[in-house]
Amino acid sequence: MRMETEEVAPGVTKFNLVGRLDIGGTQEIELQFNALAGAQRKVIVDLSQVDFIASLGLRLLIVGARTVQRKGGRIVLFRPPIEVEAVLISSGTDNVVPILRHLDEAIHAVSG
Amino acid sequence: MSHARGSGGGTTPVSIGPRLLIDTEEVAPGVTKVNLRGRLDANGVQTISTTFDRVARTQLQLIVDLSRVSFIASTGLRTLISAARSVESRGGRMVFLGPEASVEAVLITSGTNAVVPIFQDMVEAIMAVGAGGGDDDDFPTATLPFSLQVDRSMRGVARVGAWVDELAILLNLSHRTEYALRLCLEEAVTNLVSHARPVPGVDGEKVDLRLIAEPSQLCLTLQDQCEEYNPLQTGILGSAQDVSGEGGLGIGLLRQHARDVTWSRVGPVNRLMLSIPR
Repeated sequence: MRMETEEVAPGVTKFNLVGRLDIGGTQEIELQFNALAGAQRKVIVDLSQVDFIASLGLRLLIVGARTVQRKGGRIVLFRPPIEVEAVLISSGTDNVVPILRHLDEAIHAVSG
Repeated sequence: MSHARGSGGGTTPVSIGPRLLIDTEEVAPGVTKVNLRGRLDANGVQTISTTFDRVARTQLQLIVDLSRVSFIASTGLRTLISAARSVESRGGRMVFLGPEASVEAVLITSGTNAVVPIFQDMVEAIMAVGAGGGDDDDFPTATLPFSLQVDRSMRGVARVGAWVDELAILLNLSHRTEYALRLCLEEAVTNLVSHARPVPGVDGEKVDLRLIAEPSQLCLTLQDQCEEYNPLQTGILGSAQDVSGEGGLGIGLLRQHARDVTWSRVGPVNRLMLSIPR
C-alpha cells in the first residue's frame, strides 16, 4: 500500500492511495494518512487505484474525514472502483464523506 | 377401524398400522427439510406422495430427514431417487440426513447413496445442499477442499490475505468473488482476534479455515476453540455512523457479501459457516 499527495488546485490536496486497504495496507498508511488529514483542510482522497476495502479501511477513511471536518475543512472520496464503491455505500460511509467521480467536481466540492 | 385394505382402483387406501407422516420446515434460508416418520413402504409412499412430489418439484435445496424412518422398501427407494432426480434436473440438490443403521444399510447396498449423499450432521447437510447444482452431477469430485490454520492475531489476518491471493489464482476466481472472499475472511478473523477469549488451558490461539470450492459457490468454515462467542449476535447492521465503537460494521459487511451465514457451538468449538456465490 502506498500513499502520495499532490496539489491539484491552490490549497487542494489529493491523496493518491495505491493498493489494497486490507488490514496490512491500512496499517502501512495509517500514520501518514492521519497526520496529513490533521494538517489539510481541502482533501480529495483518490481511491481509483484501491482495489479492496473492508471495515478497517473504512474506519481509516471515516476517522480521517472527521478529523478534517472537525477543523471546518472539507473532504471527498474520488473515483472508487465499483466493488469498493459498493462497500462505501452499503456501510453508509458516503453519508459521512461524499463520493465524486470528476476531478473538477471534487475540487469544487472541497473548495466550497 | 377393522375394515380390510381398500382394493385400489383410485380409492384412498385405508392405512394399516402407523401411517407415514410428512412435514417440512425451513432449516436455513432456502433450505427445506422434509421430515418423514414411519415406514417407507408401499402404503407409506402413497400417503406422502402428493406432498413429497410437490416439495421435490418446487425446492432446490432439500434435506430428507430419515432419522425417524424405521423401514424402507424398494418402492420407498424409488420415490426418494425420483425426487432427487427432479430436484437435480432443476439445478438443485437433495441429501439424506440421519438414517438409522438398518435404513442406511439399505441405502448403501442399493447404491442410492451414490445418487443422494447421506449426512449424519445437520450443518454438513445444509452446507451440502447449499452447493447448488451446476452441470456436473458428480458431486464429490466437483468440489475442491482447501484448509489453512493461522494464529489468532493480526499476523494471522495478514496470512489469510495471502491465502486469498493463492486461492484467487488456483480457482480462477472472478474479481467480485475474490473481493467477497477477502472481505469475509478478513472481517471474520479480525473479529475473532478482537473479541474471542481463550479458554484457560485450551489452545485458543489458532483459527482453522476450511474452504470447499464448488462450481457455483465457495463454502467457508472458520473454527476456533475460544470461549463460546457468536459474532452474529452483534446482529444489527453496523454503519459508518457508529464506526468509532464496535458497532458490528465488519459483520454487517460480511453478511452483505456472503449468504447462509450461520454460527454454531459444536462441543468446545465455535464454528462460523458461510458461502460466497461464484
